[in-house]
Amino acid sequence: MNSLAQPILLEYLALGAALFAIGLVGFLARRNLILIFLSTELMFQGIIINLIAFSCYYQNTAGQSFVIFVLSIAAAEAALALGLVVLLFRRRRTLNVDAWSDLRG
Amino acid sequence: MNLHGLLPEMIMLAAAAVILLNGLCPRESVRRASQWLALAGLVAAFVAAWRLAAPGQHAGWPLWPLATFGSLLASGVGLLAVLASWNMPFKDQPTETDSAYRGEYFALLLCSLAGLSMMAKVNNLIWLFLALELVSMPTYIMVAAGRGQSAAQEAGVKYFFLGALSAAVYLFGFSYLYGFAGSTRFSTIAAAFHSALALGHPPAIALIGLLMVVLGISYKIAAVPLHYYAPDVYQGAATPVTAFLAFTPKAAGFIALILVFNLTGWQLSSSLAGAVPALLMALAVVTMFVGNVLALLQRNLKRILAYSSIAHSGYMLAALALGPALSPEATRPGELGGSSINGLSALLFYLAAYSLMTLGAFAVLIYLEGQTGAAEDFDGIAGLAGEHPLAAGCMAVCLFSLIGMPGTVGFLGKLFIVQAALAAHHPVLAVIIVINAAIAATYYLRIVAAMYLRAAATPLTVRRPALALKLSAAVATFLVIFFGLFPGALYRQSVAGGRSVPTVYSAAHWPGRSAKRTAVGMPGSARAGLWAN
Repeated sequence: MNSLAQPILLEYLALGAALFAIGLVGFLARRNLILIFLSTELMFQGIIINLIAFSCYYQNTAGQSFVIFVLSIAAAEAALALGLVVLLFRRRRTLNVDAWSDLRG
Repeated sequence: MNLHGLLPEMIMLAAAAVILLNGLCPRESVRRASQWLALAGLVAAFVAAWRLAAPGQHAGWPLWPLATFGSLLASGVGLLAVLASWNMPFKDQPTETDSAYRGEYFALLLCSLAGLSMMAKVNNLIWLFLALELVSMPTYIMVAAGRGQSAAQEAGVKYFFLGALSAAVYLFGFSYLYGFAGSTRFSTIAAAFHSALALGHPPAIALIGLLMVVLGISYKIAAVPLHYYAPDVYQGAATPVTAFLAFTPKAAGFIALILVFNLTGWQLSSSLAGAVPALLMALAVVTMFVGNVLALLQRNLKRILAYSSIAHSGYMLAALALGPALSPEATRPGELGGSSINGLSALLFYLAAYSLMTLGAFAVLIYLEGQTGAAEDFDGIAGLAGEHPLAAGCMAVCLFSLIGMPGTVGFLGKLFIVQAALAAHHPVLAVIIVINAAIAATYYLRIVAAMYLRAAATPLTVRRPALALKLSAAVATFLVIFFGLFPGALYRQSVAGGRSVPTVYSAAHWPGRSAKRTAVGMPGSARAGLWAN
């Protein structure tokens, strides 16, 4: 492993962490269900960048195969999220999460 | 492990596939067979898991007793959950027509149970991730679609979005653990932790990864800091789904946490790394208090049981924090029936005990669910003992067990945790658990008092009391008393499971360390350059 690898790895890790953090902030700050879901997708992309960066650094394929699985699970989650969003929109005609706060105690 | 070891999961998934096809049939009488198919699949899976639990199976797989404990728990308690869900999909109005998703519900339930059953059989971060998601994804749909009310959809959306967030958090932790060790295999990660701990303390990246994994999985077990969804989701979901949620994700989360801490070799006592077990202990204590104190303020029975489930997670987290170490005066490993039990055995016993008693309590609530949620609060069950003495009796037994009354399985569960805490020289923790049990008694006894001492406000009507529902409540109650008096079988399984987890790292415990790994591994010098300083 040459000495150049380390700074490049750290930059990719910083990018992954930044994407994750942006997603987290978006998740907490946004009120629209679709944008909230996109924020979680952003977090997943940050993780994927981490995995690919480590995979390149270690010269093995474990991280890349992990990415394939993460992507397929994220796709399944996207299908589920869109189904839920359609279900909610039909009932309330809005995608604002504040319209869904009946359960309290 | 060969494919034969995955027989229970394969049976469950095959049954789920058959049920999905069966649910497409236009004739309702055929669709009604879904429950029977689910029941048959789980019985077959239980038998398969029982045969796999026989001594001598898969001797090369050190965590095998833990794995078979997970399979037995999933298929055994899953049977009761299917019986309790017999009337699904839940209908809020008796006039609603039978909808088409009858089959899907049981298929989703089986998929989720298959994930739980698979949980302790994984040896790779990728598989751990897939097993956790296999447990969670079906439950999101079960919450949202299990009931036509908007409350269920609100619960579903909360559960799903926070679930996706928690998945992202623990997955981020997984990516750092992979980055730390250079492999997703548990054997390599454990070896990396072992060598890092031998040098001093593990690098920050490993600790950050570990903390994020714990944080993300604390959502699955409804522990502080990610507990606040539980009351809303438990209240909004259809009651059979709530019963399922109280058990499956929690069991899966605890088994996953055992596996994750097993990677560290349970040796995180050095300076910085020592913060992780200390944090776990602190989370356990806070979770207990939060659950029990907030439960006192509730009027809705499902919310009370939700907070009680948070509190019980606290007890189990305490057992997890005690780890697999046996005190020196304990009996030698392999010799059962000793006076001392390690933290993980106590955790596994408590997990099974909690599943049975909470399922029994929810089964009674499902049974009582009359017109428009009559059994939702204290008024709904007032005077229950006069009108439905058996249901009230089952409920009372399960609640006494949740309190921890002697003679029930809940008492033994708490006893083992306290015993493990004392053996590990944590007397304060033992005292805190006992104090919490006393606080919890207040709200459980309030329910019992409403059932036995108050007169019914309105006559309780029980809609379509399916035999299966009565059976699930009765069997759960029977098992609560039976294992309370004769814990032998359950005790043996949980002690075997808890003691199979090694207390110190040794390469012999990780049979997966083959030449294949070194072929894809990285040069040791490169790793040292990045992490060791």
